[in-house]
Amino acid sequence: MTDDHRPLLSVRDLQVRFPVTTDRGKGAVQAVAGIDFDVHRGQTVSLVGESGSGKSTVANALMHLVEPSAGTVLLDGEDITSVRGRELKALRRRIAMVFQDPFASLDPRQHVSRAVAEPLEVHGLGGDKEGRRRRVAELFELVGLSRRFLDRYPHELSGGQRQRVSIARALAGEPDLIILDEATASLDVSVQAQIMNLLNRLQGELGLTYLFIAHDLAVVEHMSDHVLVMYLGRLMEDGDVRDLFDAPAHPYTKALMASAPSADPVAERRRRTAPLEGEVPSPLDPPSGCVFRTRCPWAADECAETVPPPVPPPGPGPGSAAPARRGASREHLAACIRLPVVQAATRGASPAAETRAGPGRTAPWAGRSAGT
Amino acid sequence: MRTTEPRRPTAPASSDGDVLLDVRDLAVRIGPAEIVNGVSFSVPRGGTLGIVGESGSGKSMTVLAATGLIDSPPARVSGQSLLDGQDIVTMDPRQLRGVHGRRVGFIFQDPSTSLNPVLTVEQQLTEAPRFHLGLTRRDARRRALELLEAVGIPDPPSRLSSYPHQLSGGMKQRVMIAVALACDPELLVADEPTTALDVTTQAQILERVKELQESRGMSVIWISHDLGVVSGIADRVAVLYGGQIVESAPLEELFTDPRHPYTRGLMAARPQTAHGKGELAVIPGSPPDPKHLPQGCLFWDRCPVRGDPRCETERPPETPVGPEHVVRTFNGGDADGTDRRGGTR
Ligand SMILES: Nc1ncnc2c1ncn2[C@@H]1O[C@H](COP(=O)(O)OP(=O)(O)OP(=O)(O)O)[C@@H](O)[C@H]1O
Ligand SMILES: Nc1ncnc2c1ncn2[C@@H]1O[C@H](COP(=O)(O)OP(=O)(O)O)[C@@H](O)[C@H]1O
Ligand code: SF4
Ligand code: SF4
Ligand SMILES: [Mg+2]
Ligand SMILES: [Mg+2]
Repeated sequence: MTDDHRPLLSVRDLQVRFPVTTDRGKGAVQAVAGIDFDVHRGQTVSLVGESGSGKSTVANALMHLVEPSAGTVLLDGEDITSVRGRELKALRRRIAMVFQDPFASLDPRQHVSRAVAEPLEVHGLGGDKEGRRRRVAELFELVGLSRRFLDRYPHELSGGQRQRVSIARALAGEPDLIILDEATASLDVSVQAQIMNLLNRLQGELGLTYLFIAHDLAVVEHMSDHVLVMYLGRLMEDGDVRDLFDAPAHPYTKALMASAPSADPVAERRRRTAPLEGEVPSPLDPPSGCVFRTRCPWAADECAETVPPPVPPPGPGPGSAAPARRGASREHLAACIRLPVVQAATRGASPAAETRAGPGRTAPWAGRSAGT
Repeated sequence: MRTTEPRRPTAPASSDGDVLLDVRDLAVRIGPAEIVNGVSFSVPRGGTLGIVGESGSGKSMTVLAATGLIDSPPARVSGQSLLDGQDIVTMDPRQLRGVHGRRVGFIFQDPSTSLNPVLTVEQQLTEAPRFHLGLTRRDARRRALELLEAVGIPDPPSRLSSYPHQLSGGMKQRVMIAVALACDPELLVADEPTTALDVTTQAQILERVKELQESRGMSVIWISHDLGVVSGIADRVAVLYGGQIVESAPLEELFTDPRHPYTRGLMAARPQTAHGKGELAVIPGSPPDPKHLPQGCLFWDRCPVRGDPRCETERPPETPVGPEHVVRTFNGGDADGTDRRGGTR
């Protein structure tokens, strides 16, 4: 029973700093500034945000491609925050990654079947040579590639076919978690649809768990059970996919959604100004208070002084007798101190929203939040 | 099929002076590859044409040929591309220099192909106006500042001495637009310039181009594989497949009444709001190899509604289905009873 409710991946106060040297001397980029989230088995949790918001750094920290500077990461209850050596090798079987550019992640001089055989060899899976060959052919079939592609070179495949090879490679080690970092971003709309269907089909058939990183909101909405919105290394909003897309709460999420092309010419015509001006500020020198305030249409003086309380970790709330929130269902949360004002102005005044969001604390968003 | 088909009304009113670029029966061959196969369209002054299609459908080659940017040889370009009545296809290199960067500006997907890594922003922005417009150094500098401001670069004076590698992806893209606009071109050609950018930056850049277009009366050709992006800017959309325009219509008409199975497939493949994790409609297969084009309809092997006996043996001609709406299929209506927007599953 307890195991059912234990998240597969549990991330607490994860921080990643990169030391950098600038004209003004040594400093540090706080690429990830303390985030908390869980990923449950068989689910897809997405990280979304603009370039530089820290999405890939989270993924790299989970894989130990960069070292977290603080925080804890539990995989199936086991602390993997500071694994080394043989444990690290085992971890890289349990967590697999698929990247945006399959060209860059496949060796141009090797048949693509080698890319899929390699993790089998490294982790001693698939039995003998013949067994591995059979397993590679099975994996090709699983991702919808005909066997005639086994002995092709990456440049002989289309972008979509190469991405299928990368997915087969990721599946080879039978990982617990697959991280997909912009895995469909460089593909055409039609090929992207094929890959999204493949990922969802595999998830259904094999019970896979995905951490899905993307900046295309329509793709995120289609793929996710749960969504985390990041900005400058922090979580701005956290909610189940329907709650978050039906009723985005944080001004940043609203702006992202308003920026997404809608494929509805009438709506596009009506949009006269870009919803968000300017660029993400330098992470070397983030704004005081709320990091989004330099671009936030709702920013007020208090936003420069008060740091919005971060989205709290999943689990029983402080002083609450309620059991841990389970499954992907948890409250819909946003790190904004002016949430009541924003909500009242964008959805018509709602006294309920006012009372729920006390001043100066994170407001549980008064939308259709699931769980307690 | 060669390029002898009679020209149809791919765009409205192309005979009067409102048309800036008039492309007729454009074809491009490289060796045995038939890359562009009889493309006709026109771009009105101040108007925007969106060109949509999958990777490899011939979008880039069509506009490169139409604007005289293809090396021939090796490519063989036929047909006409009339810029204000003057045919770009037959221009010599000297005449083309008067067109490129002067009357026609370009922005591409990858800023590194158009920005010179060893020149500062100021050098890239002042070179063409000094050469083409004979501006003094001081005037060119003032103009450069105005342009940076116009494309939304904060604090332009501090950016003049930057090199491209010191700028973020979005800023590079803005600088590239400023370079493209430096000589006040009549036509801006944008080949997937926002595909690699954040949605927020993309929305900002689309907005800037729309504003600049209105204030300068510039014409725009905007290329994308995503109908959603094009819907933000185009007045008219041409859908390209196998180097042919398979459908062309005013923007809203294309969205409300798509007639070609390929157009419908592209629309259905886009993830839609509130769809859940359900299966997306996909267009199986991939665009035809220009070295081995089929004899009949180029979309035949992927078409969910093929059925007409001619589909496999003849290239469907361009057929008008509305005053400004043409489609290239033997099945342009709803006779098959399929869902307008559905591809195959
Ligand atoms: N090795 C590094 N050294 C210094 N800074 C880094 C390093 N890697 C990432 N950063 C910085 O950390 C921040 C987060 O970067 P990250 O790559 O995680 O962003 P992202 O959300 O994945 O963006 P994108 O959408 O562009 O992939 C950025 O400011 C980036 O410049
Ligand atoms: N220099 C070239 N030589 C031969 N074939 C080419 C060349 N450039 C492009 N092609 C081919 O022409 C077709 C159309 O290419 P392109 O115009 O780049 O498509 P798009 O811009 O729509 O992705 C593709 O099949 C491509 O492989
Ligand atoms: S805290 Fe202030 S600046 Fe930050 S998102 Fe809320 S309103 Fe905007
Ligand atoms: S001509 Fe035939 S094969 Fe081609 S698109 Fe029309 S119905 Fe399909
Ligand atoms: Mg990244
Ligand atoms: Mg192209």
